[in-house]
Amino acid sequence: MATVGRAVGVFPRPGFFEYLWSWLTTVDHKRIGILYGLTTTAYLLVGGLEALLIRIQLAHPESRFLDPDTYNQIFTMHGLTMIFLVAMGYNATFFNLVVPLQLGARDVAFPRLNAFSYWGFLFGSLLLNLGWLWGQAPGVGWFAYANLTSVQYTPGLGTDFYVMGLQVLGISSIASALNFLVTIINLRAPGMTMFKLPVFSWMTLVVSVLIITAFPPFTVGLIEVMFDRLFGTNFFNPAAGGNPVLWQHLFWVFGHPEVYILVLPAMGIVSEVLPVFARKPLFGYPFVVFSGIFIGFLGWGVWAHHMFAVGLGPVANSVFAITTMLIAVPTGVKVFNWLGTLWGGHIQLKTPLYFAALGFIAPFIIGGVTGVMHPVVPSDYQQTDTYFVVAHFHYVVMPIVAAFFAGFYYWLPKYTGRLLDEGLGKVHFWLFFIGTNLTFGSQIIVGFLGMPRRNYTYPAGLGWEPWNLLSTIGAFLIGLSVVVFVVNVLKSLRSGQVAGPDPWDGRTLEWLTSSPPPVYNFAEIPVVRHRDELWARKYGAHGERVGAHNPPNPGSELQIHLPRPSYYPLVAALGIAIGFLGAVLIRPAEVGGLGPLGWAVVVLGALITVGGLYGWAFEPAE
Amino acid sequence: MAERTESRPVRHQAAGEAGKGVGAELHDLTAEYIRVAVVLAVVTLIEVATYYVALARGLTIGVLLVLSALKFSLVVLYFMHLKFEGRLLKYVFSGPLLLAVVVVIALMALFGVLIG
Amino acid sequence: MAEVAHAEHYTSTGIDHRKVLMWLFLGSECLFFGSLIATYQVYRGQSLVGPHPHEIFNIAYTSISAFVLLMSSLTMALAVNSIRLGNLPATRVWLLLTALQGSIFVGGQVFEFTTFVAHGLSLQVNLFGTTFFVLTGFHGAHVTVGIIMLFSLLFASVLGRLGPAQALTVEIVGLYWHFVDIVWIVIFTVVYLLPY
Repeated sequence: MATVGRAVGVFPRPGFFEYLWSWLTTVDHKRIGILYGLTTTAYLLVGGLEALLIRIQLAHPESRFLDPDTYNQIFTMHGLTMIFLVAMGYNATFFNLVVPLQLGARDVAFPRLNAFSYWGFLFGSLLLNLGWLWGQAPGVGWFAYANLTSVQYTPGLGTDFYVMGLQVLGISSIASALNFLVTIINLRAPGMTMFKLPVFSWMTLVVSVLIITAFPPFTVGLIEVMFDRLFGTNFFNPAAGGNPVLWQHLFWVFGHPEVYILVLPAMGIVSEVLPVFARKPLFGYPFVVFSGIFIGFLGWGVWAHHMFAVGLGPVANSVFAITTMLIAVPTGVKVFNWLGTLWGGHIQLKTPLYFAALGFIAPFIIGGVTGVMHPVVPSDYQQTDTYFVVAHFHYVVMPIVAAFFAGFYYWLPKYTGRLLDEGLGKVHFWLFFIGTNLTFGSQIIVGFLGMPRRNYTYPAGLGWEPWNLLSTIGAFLIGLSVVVFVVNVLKSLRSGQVAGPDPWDGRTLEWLTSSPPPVYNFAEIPVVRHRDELWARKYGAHGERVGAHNPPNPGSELQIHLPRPSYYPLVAALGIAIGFLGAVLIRPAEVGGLGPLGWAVVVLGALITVGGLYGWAFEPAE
Repeated sequence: MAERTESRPVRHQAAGEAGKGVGAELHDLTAEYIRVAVVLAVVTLIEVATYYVALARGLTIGVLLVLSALKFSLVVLYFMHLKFEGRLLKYVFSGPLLLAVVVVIALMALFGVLIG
Repeated sequence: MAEVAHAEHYTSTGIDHRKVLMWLFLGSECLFFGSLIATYQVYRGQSLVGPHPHEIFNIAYTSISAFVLLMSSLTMALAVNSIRLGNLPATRVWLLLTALQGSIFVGGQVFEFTTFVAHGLSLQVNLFGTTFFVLTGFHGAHVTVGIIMLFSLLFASVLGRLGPAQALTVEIVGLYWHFVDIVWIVIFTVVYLLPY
């Protein structure tokens, strides 16, 4: 029965190991969100470094800065890191930090499962990167097309680290998505019906549905690659009648919903930030919600537009072309809703709004317009495998990164208690904005000039040099902007302006409680009557001021039951990662594995997992 | 997501009572379960019989698909109690199930093995 | 599993968190088995060499083990029924019977695999072997996990930790068990009975 009477207010200063232990065993969604945020930011730096290495290599024709094999590993790991570790990681960061507070809940539905998701994310990401130690990181592209992944063509351990690392990350993602689904379904504050649910939480719900449905086909695809590599099965072995195109389908059945898994939370962040800094409600809330749902639904029916060049035939190509064009409609609806939100608002030009409006919406439209060119199949035949495609999807993902930055400038003060610096924030924004457009604007042009992607170098004299050089310069500006961001966060932690509970005059429940919030979030669970509940409490539903919000009431702290810290989630996640590491090590000694001894590691991992799960199941939760 | 189910927040006295839905009133369901099991057994018998009886190929396929869908539904609706749950759980299960069926059919169509 | 066993707790829908979680998980599992079945179907009849399904299947044998698994769903439902009525001895009997039938099924599958291997069907020999063993093997692994959960419930009941207050836990394990059964209903039809 852990109660919080002692823990709030002034901490009795614990020793370092007690402090460390409290983080290793934490089940508090806010702490888990901070762990996700720190881990992910580390990977942002790693993935960014990989991007800079790519750009240094491509700055000049015929460069020998990287050899082809290293280049393959670096561009593969850049993609994997940015998608699975940075975008998915920041998604999980914001889910954890924001959703329970927006719902008016004390925590997620399953706090220990939440801790398990984080540790699975950490160990899975380490496993994915472990190949560097062997000098054999995955080098087959993030899509890992069969049968390049068969032992015949990639005998090294890199592909095994790809398969096993992503399996662990998949388990973590599914666990986290299940948890947030239950949380949003079941832990909304009294009175918060689904159409009073804040948009970010709505998008979390849609994304979680996508994760639990789209990851299993990928899991199956990875299992098939694993069996082909470890046990000599024939899934993708043409000599036995296997069809490598099946992998492409399983991959893109997952891969396209994954694109929406990445972008919908960003759209949620933008939909939270714009109303606050325009000081008026989100324009057309039901349209934003339903177009989000529609995007998630349609996202399931467009996967083969990644495969037009495979030769699926005119019928399949036409079907997927039409569904792909359709998806532009709900996306456009959202853009107009955001514009409608800003229109006529009392615009507060703060850093979060810079990132949300200029950093997200504007470049995202370029990403969308270049995207809608691809479903025109004959045109796609020309664009496929050129830098035009690279530019297109970076014009989709860089706005996502901008939305994350908007989220950090907006929400971080809630958890640190201190605002970020506005001046540095604007420097950060302009460097990022100019850098992004320089880097990927150049790539649109060089793509039209026919430069193929994934090649480690290119010949001189084709008119590609100036654009590549510009692109590299832009990439360094983006890198610099991230440094400014990190400096800004550190500065804010040391000497930032104290935020107070509600620095932006917010609209939703997270601004009701103190900054940082107490471990139990709300002393009293709020009762919700309005979509913008806090705004209505402050200004009345129709604009008249009715008084300030209630600070947490310390008198009722002692009655709040909190989930007890637990190390079993960490143990279970560690066991799973060790088990999958063992599955990598089953590969023969000639390529760096342990051979049959790898099975011992698998068994060890399995035992640790089972032990962790049993301890978990039988320990009292509070 | 079902807005109708959420409009009435409920406080539970004990974990054992939670989430029983409409069928929470305590009566013995043994007879009902046995009736379902008998139907399942009979249907299985018919299914296996199709293997030994020479019917037209298309007919066999049709009969088998209908019968196994019937068995599937019986177990889900009665043994898993979904028939008596609210809309939320019905959607939570039938949505992904439908998606899975569509993915299987779509992949078979894309590989040209749906017919024949 | 006592994650949310507060004396009194609030849920927006009135349904326990764990039950919603299990149904969501089963929805996710639909896509997992759906993808495995899709693979099987895409490669149906595409093997370049034998053994082929009709040469190796023993329909009578597999029908019996499928029937055993089907009936284990009945005993599982009865176990849930008993614990709701507060009849602990009957609950134990039904749980034990369910676990035993599950074990018979898995044992039967092990025997079937061994026989197939003896007849020259291996994971590697052709596409049929590859897809058949992986699909049915993953199903068998799911049944095994279910058996472990059932024995854990029995173990908890021996320790006196299983009473009417845990009826929901039994129900949730039951949901998993029935799901594994319906997956086999599909696999049995698609893999064994549908003409090749």
